[in-house]
Amino acid sequence: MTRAIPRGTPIGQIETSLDWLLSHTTRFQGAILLRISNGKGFILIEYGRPAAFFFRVGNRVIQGEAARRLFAQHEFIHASLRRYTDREFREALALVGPGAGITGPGGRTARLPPFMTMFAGEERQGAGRASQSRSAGLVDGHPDHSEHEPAVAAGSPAGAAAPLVPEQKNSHEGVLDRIVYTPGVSSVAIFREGSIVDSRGDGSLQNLVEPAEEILLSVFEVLPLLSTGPLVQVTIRLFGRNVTIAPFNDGYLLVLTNPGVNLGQIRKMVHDVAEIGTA
Amino acid sequence: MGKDTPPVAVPELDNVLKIRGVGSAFLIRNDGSVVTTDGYPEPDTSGLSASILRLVFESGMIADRIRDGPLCQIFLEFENRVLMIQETDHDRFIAVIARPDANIGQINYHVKKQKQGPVPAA
Repeated sequence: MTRAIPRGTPIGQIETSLDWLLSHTTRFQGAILLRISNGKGFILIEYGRPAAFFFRVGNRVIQGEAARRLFAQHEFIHASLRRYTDREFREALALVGPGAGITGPGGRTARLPPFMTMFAGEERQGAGRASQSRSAGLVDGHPDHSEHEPAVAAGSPAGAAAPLVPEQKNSHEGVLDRIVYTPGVSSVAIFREGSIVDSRGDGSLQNLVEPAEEILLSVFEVLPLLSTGPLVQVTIRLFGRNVTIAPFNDGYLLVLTNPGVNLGQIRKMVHDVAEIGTA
Repeated sequence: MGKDTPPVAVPELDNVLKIRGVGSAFLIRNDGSVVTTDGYPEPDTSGLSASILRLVFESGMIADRIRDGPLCQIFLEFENRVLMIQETDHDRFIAVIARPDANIGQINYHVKKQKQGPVPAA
């Protein structure tokens, strides 16, 4: 049986960098088909979150984190965007298999937080993460799932779901991995009582914990003056960076984002995380 | 705290107040005085302006630490309200209180329009 990823609905073509693509597809679900030199591949995007990377040159396949790094090395890549329905997205994810799934820049294998299951196809994303460390990199003789080229499916009928990963308990590692890979996020940490519990991304955030706690004290002064309900988040927008502080379990998240990230994106990220904290 | 100041017309506040879900908007000086307030003001606007100024000060500390300043805006989100604080010039801030389901992008647009260059000394 030979299959390609679903055609989807073409919505346009562009020549740009990977960073630009990922930062401008925040509400997009579908595939970005790419051509670089003699090869071609695609990125599966699930409502702004890159879920899988796949690239093929001749008989060689690069997937997962290795493919992401390859795409990032090119200043300009030719991209064609195809919007997917939930079903098409699930089908594409099942076809591409777990090896193309990615994890955060830290490269550690992420567990699957339960909240991810609220998104269609998330289970397969989790499976991809779980096996990323084994499968990323060059692979000979891998099937080509690029659109309209024959590909050998992994023994599953069209549209069939890949095996589900059992739901695991909430973990701050999973949350940090998810946040740090959100486009525009440069680093993230969980802090509690003056100390960083865990962090991801570039640079240390320890020196921001003290002023962050001072800010929280000021925020708690505002609380009784407004009929507000509990704190959801504080975002401080600086000229060159956004700093977001949000309650998470018995501590706080501290997230640094690039100035191009807008408040809507930050709010969505915080609300997603809040669902985990209360799950 | 606060000096008695005559009401000041701030056209952008009017535009902000037209946005569905916005409860009140006020302009405060960096000495804590409320320059003008509009909409349905909170009972303790003076106390709120003092807390806002402290928040602005603490946010400046974070800007110093990560050297990505200056401060542009502070956005507080609670379960039932949001509070957006935007510096309009070197010594005044606009604070807008709204419901969380208000169009934050639209509020953001109007409060940013209010931002001016340095105000010449009187």
